[in-house]
Amino acid sequence: MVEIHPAVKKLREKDPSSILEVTSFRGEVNVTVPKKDIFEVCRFLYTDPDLQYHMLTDLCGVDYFPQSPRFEVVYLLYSFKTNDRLRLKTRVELGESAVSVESIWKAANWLEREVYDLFGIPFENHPDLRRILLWDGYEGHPLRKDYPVEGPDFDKPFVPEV
Amino acid sequence: MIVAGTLTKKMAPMVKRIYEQMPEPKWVIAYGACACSGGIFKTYSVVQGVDQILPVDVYVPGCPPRPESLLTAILELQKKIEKETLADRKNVRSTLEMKG
Amino acid sequence: MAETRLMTINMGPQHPATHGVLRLVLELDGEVIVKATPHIGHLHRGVEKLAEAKTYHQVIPLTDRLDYTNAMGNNLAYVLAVEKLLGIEVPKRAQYLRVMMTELQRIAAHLIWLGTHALDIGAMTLLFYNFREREEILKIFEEVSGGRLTPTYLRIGGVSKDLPDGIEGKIKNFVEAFPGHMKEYETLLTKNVIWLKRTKEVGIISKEDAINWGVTGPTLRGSGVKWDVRKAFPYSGYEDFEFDIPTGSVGDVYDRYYVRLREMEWSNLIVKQALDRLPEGPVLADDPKVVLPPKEMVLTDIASLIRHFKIASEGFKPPQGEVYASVEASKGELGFYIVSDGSNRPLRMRIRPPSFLNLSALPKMIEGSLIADVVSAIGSIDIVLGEIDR
Repeated sequence: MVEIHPAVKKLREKDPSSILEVTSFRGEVNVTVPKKDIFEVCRFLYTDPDLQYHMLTDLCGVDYFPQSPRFEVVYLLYSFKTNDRLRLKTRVELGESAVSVESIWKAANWLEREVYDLFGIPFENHPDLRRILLWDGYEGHPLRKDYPVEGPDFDKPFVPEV
Repeated sequence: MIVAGTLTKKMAPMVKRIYEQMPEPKWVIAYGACACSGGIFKTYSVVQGVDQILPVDVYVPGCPPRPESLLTAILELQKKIEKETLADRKNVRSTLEMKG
Repeated sequence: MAETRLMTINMGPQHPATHGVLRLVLELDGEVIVKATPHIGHLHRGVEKLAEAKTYHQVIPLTDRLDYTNAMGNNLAYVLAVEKLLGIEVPKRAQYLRVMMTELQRIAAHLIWLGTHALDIGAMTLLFYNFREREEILKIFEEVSGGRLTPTYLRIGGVSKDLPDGIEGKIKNFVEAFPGHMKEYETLLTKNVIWLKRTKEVGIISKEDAINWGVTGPTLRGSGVKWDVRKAFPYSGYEDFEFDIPTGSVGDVYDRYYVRLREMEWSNLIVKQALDRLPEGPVLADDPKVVLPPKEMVLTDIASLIRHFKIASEGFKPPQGEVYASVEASKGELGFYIVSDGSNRPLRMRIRPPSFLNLSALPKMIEGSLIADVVSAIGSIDIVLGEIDR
């Protein structure tokens, strides 16, 4: 069933090495792409006249801590023409940086800033990469698995700098 | 000043600054579970209660508190103000200066 | 020759018109805005991190507090995602109850939007009228679930309990009285010269820009794109209801106002249809590993007691995998992306917040316009900081 998904078929025709793995769970199609090809794949999916994935619904990061490569950046695309959702995933190791798709979808601007803020994955070619939800000067990246929920300094009293 | 809602560490300096900009006499109501004690959010970015940075006069529990609770809180505050003397006001001032 | 510099103004986090703790740094050339930078994060509570430390049932009250004006909708999005992960079917009566509650909540959320938006622009009477209507809806919610603002009514597999006696009469009264109230609002605003002058041709975003910036909900429909998650990916029995999707044409503040007014009317009709066609049946799915047994059995039967204890303390273990489920919240497409590694806690729970992406398109809407238009524009995209910052 996954083989007849039109986007997967077209990607395989264009460049079979750009698809590492295709899975399907509960009716959703997930395509794993190597990090170096993600920008080209996204641009192809955006500009192709039959697919037209014009909307970036969501961009997020996942931390699979003991596994390596550790992080995964997940893109969820939507096409108005075919009324279809597609999920792209790429793996990033700790310390590596991912490629920004902000030049294709402007929605990625704030979404990538959030992934950088909470996971610590920098994005190349991003026009304005800085922290968005936590304040400047915050140390640490909270959504990583080795960061405690209460924060590292829970037992110390809190003194705000006015 | 009614502090309603969760107080985060990013917002705390602004709340303290607003409190210091208020003219005397001033009182603080901590409205809601998050303002009283941090509520259900025991996380890295939430201040566990407004009383960690400001002196609070009336606590209103609830998540969210019913409108009748707010009216009761204001009446309680009025009762508290009636019983205050000038010496009590001086107390609040010096605590603030000690906290720095 | 004197040099001119741009003036920087800080619309600080504590401001009566920013609908929450939003900080806008505006650079002005006279009265015209040259650059606008929103700063968010003043209400970041770490909900996504907190959800990784709780079982699947314990996350439901957390989702209430995200967008606190649309609590039933948030519950629905999360519960749909977990049900998709588990692969369980929800009975028909529960689906219709969910639709009824979600549409009532949508009316309540749009009422807050209308009252505060009109208040910002200067029309104060509407605020009092809208809150009077909203009070009726909150009374219904309190009778049904026990909470006015944070009902936590939905459960994984259905609804927590059935409707109490007498509530159907109250909902019927509300549904019948509502069109009269809508007429009141329209007479006050829709053809009002001051309203038209302050909302027409203000805060325009074009169709292509809206899609590129990831904008959804009434903000997208105001720009002319006829798209709604309830029609594109129907969920929870919406395919049985008849309703239409209103759209605007230009993409300015007036169009978004018009779209939301019509949406309130359609929601009212959906509640009426749900009330007329409510089927009989159970309100919870029949899955012993996920759903709590009824209370009478727990107090008398030892097997039910053990089952209740295990579900409430440990939770259940879903299969390994990842799902994304979305609903049409009052602000846009609210989605939950849950990754499960087979244990009783989610590995990652990602919330796709509609107001986050709508707000990121705000600089595009206001750059080049006057500073008085900022308040109209912020009000029209209808942001709630609880959802943006999570």
